[in-house]
Amino acid sequence: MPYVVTADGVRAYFDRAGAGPALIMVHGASQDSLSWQYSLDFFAQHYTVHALDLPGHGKSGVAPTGPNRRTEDNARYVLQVIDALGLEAPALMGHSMGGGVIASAAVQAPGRIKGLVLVDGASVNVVKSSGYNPAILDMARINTGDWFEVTFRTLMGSRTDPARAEEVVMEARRCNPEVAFADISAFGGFRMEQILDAIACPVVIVEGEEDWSVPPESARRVEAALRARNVPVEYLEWPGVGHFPQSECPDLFNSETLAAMKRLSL
Amino acid sequence: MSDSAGRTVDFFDPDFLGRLAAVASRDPFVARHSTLAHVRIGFAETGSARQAWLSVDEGKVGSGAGDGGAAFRFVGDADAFSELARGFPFNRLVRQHRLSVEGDLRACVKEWLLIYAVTRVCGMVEA
Repeated sequence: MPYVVTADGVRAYFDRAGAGPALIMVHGASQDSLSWQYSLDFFAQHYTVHALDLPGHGKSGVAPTGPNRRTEDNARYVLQVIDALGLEAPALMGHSMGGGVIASAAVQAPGRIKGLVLVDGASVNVVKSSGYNPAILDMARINTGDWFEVTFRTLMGSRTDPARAEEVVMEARRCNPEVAFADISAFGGFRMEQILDAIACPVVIVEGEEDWSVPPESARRVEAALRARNVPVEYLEWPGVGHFPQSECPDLFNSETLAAMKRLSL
Repeated sequence: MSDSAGRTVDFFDPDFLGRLAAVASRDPFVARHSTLAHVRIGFAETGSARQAWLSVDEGKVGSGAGDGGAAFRFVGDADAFSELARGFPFNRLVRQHRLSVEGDLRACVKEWLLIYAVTRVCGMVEA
């Protein structure tokens, strides 16, 4: 059965496929493991892939304390799932909010994580790019479902097939609004710039040129900060692509991301 | 101000708003999200007395100048409304703090998707 129970008592669901070194996939806000549906089988040709549902998302239970409003708590969940699965030194791939989650996990458990793949998830100065101050958060809380739908619709790249964009939006609407708002709080409250100096493992940064939520200037700042400390980094950026490259252009995403991971021996 | 095709676009121009309302009234996405809707969206430009409104009544979109009795209004400067008129998403202008909401904030956010549906049509209106 594709679930484990974490040390905190959360029933943690995942999709699993493939054989080889361990790769954990962590979705973004208001999404779930289905967000990797166009990548799971591809990466499963090279890795044992576990695509997780964070607490309250997809088929995973909610933590006894309620939806996680802090990225650090979602990171602890990921590490507890890794423990429960008995995985040794997995690589972590995280999209958007999930990028912060895996970066935080790498800092909480240095030496246990082989490397990171930040998919439109290298977010610094998130208040400026996302606009999430207390007043904007209040607005998002009033009607979180519509808030996410409008946000997601405007985050699609100009080259995205409209049918694919519609699919991503419809899948995001399945998320419980309270959980989705907790995601906004976690994303808006996380400061990757405060932990960058503690990241030592190799990092692949993937970025859609038209992403305005985690924009290229943010990702390039993360790249520069890591390179300044001689952390191995690969940086990928694609024109016409927005916030969801694994859904918008999966063939490009899969092949180029895998190649970058291999260059870093992940 | 002109759009990328060199067209002059003025959000508060009654002719532009009229054409916007006509296109929005035929738009399937607006129709899909306006079931039983009776909403009036206000707009006000800072630094001038210019105000306008758009109404949605079960898929029929109307427009006019002035306050229009809207319960809420989007307020911003001329640059923000110029970008809105050229199709820049209203929610991004809000997130950039270039448009703010005055009046009944809750009523506004409750209609977030419908506001997106209607205002996105700005980019489809021929100058």
